[in-house]
Amino acid sequence: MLTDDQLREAFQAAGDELALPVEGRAAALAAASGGERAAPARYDARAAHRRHLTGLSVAAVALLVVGAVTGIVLGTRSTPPPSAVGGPTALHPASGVASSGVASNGLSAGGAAVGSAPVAKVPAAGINPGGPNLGAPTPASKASGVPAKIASTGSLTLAIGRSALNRDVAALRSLAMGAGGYISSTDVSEAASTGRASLTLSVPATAFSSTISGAEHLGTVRTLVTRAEDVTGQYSGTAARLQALEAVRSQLERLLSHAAKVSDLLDVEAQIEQVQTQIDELQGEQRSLDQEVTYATLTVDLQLRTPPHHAKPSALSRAWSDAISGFTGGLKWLLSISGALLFSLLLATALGLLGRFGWRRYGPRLRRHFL
Amino acid sequence: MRGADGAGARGEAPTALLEGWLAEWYAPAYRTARLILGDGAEAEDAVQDAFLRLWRFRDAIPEGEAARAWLYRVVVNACYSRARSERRHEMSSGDESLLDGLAEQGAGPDEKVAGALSGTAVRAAIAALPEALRVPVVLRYYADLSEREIALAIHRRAGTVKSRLHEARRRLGADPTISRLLGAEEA
Repeated sequence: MLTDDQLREAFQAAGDELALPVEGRAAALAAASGGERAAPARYDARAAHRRHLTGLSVAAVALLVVGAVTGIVLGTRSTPPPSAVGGPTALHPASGVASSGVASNGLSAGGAAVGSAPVAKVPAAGINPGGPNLGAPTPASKASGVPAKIASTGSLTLAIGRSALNRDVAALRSLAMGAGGYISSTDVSEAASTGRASLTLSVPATAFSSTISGAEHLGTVRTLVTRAEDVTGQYSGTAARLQALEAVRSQLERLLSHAAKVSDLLDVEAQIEQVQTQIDELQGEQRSLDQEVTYATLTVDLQLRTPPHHAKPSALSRAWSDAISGFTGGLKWLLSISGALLFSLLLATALGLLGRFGWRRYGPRLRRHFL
Repeated sequence: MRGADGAGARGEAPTALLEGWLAEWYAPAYRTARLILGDGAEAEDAVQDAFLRLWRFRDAIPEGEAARAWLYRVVVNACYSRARSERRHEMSSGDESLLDGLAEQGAGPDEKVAGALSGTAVRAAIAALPEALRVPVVLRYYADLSEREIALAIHRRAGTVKSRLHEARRRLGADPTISRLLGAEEA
């Protein structure tokens, strides 16, 4: 067991070598002097207790009022219009796009049909693809005052005429270039029956809205999904970790200049290298976030408007198809009446048993009576 | 606490009185808080809170020797508040103080490195203790409070303080780095 003296000496040494904050005393003096002006000179426990109770009561009432008002407001806002519930949005094939991060809301009932496919525009929460908010300068974060970092993505599916495929691909390229962006991926298939193209446009976030509007004019919109992810927290966290690691690195470099032994030098250098690796990783992450925030990504799928053409079936295949259809139809009919059939059978059996029981019991008497 | 333990002291100009307290007590209070919390910024905030509370309720400060225990009581309470309200940043403990210590000490480079490393090891061992043991052991061996004063500072009975100090000593003794360091010093 360690002795008191040993511990005292070790603790004193460990504590006394801690540097005092440069402005610590001045800050404490300013805080205490400032607090004095607003504080009572004498501590009155009862008065403080009363103040606490009063404060708590006021806070509770305020919370109730705010909660009630918020509930009413949110309840009013979150109720969708009857036309949007169970409407064309239920058939929207790309709802998964907006399923993470920012959930979709405000399902619009853009119910005009293209062929047999329903049209659904599904803007993500807080995003108005055609409005002024999207791509506008990012608002400042309420908590930190740091400008919010928003990463915008979108997915647009357009129905186009067969002859327009190449023209629209070229138009999308021009659209991206004109906005100061670029095409990050292209996939074009010009097969006769299944012609389609998929392009990913990376455009400056400020031009995202105008790019969507421009692309929408190239065909008939089948689906539009936009999504805005707030990465401010992630960005701030990365920046803070980076700052802390850079401070550690500079301190280690200072330590390096003080170390005289080779073993110490090697140890410190190894630590510097480790910290530098982490700094590099964080810088990469930060660049990636910057890229996501600076450039919005819009994926445009171009699909042919006309349905695929099918060859006329032969007589044999028609006959086979009719046979299958007849067989399944008969099976369906059998299944559909099986319930009623079973019930009738059970009823007949019960009546038969009852009749037989009655005949055995009263039959001879009846026979004697009538004969 | 000088300056707070008599009517004469309370008759001084308020700012001068506060400055006197800070000149005498800021450094030990800050370092105690730093050892308890393990983080410089948190300790600075805690001590600032503590002096604000002391100053606001200065008429409640007891007179005589009990004033010192009162001061540490307020500092410990501020530390508890900080520890509860915010999770401390692990990265900032240790290295900074190690380097600052090096900068301040007048010894040669090897001695500086060795001294700073042992200080870091002791602080790491203190930080590894649970809060219930860390606070009394820092008050006992850094702030040099008696068991009775610690009991007053942490609102526990003297018997509880005694058993906690015993357990803290046992754990520190079981730490191989601390044993080696203190054993080496003893040798």
